[in-house]
Amino acid sequence: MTLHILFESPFAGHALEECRRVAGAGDALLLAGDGVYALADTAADALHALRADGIALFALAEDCAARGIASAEVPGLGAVDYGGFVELTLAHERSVSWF
Amino acid sequence: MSLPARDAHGFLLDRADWNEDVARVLAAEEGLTLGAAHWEILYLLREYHAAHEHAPAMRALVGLVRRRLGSDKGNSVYLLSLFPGSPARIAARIAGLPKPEHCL
Amino acid sequence: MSTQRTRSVLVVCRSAPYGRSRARDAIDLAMAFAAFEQPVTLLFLGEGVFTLAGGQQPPAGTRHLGKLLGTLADYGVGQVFADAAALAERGLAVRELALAAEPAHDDTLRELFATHDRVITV
Repeated sequence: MTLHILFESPFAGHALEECRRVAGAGDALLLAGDGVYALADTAADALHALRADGIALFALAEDCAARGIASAEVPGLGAVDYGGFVELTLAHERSVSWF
Repeated sequence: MSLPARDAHGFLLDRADWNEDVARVLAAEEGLTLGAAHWEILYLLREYHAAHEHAPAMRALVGLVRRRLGSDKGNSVYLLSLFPGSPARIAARIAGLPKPEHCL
Repeated sequence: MSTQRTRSVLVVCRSAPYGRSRARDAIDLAMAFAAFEQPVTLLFLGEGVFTLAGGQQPPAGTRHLGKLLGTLADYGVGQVFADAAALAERGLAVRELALAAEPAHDDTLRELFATHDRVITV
């Protein structure tokens, strides 16, 4: 199982799209840095598709807060702090950064 | 003879400056006298660099020599006997090529 | 005394050549792993497939990545894959490539990511 970490806004490049193509059921996606812009309403389809594929979604709470994104209101999303970030990396066999 | 311009590690700055006389002087700096077996490797290296713009590190050099000259020569023992110490680096230097990039 | 464990590495190149240094970095990284006898697979994903385009003629002083690709086999980077959808999307599927990478469809891509011990995207 893989932890994918998205650092790029889905409006800036293709990282989220490529991540979605290679991610499989049981993987997790953590949104960090500008990756949290994937929580914008207009990017919701991509996240729905990921969830439908069996990929667990998380976001770094601090990076959401910094950008004025209310992560707590997104259903099915796990908001984590840096400790949670570390736990996620430990719980997965490998981590892949998308930036 | 006076050698062409070189970098701080003694590698020629421009591989076009190379000729056999230059190679003999560079080899002498390593304490080597070049024979037919050396030239075979040096010309192979120059040909490879012309094609790929790359001086191979040891593993790639062994594979290249094995493919082109057979397994009697494509092994580290043989290459070490010709260019003792660090064959990829020393042979590249004498061949007038840049330092191999993935070479310790 | 510790024993060294060998880990398989997937290096993923996601950038076109020349505009930035990332494509070159990805190739260099794969070569470095291979030079140290680490099993490595190289994948050109998305925009990265432009690195495989044939007919590259970079100016003097710029590293010719098309030629550099030809050294991968000598380093034991045996497996080189290219994102099949990205090749098709960019009109490269029908063009001669600088290196005959194996086209990988989405199921192969998922498998590559799931079966290597480490994945490094560049």
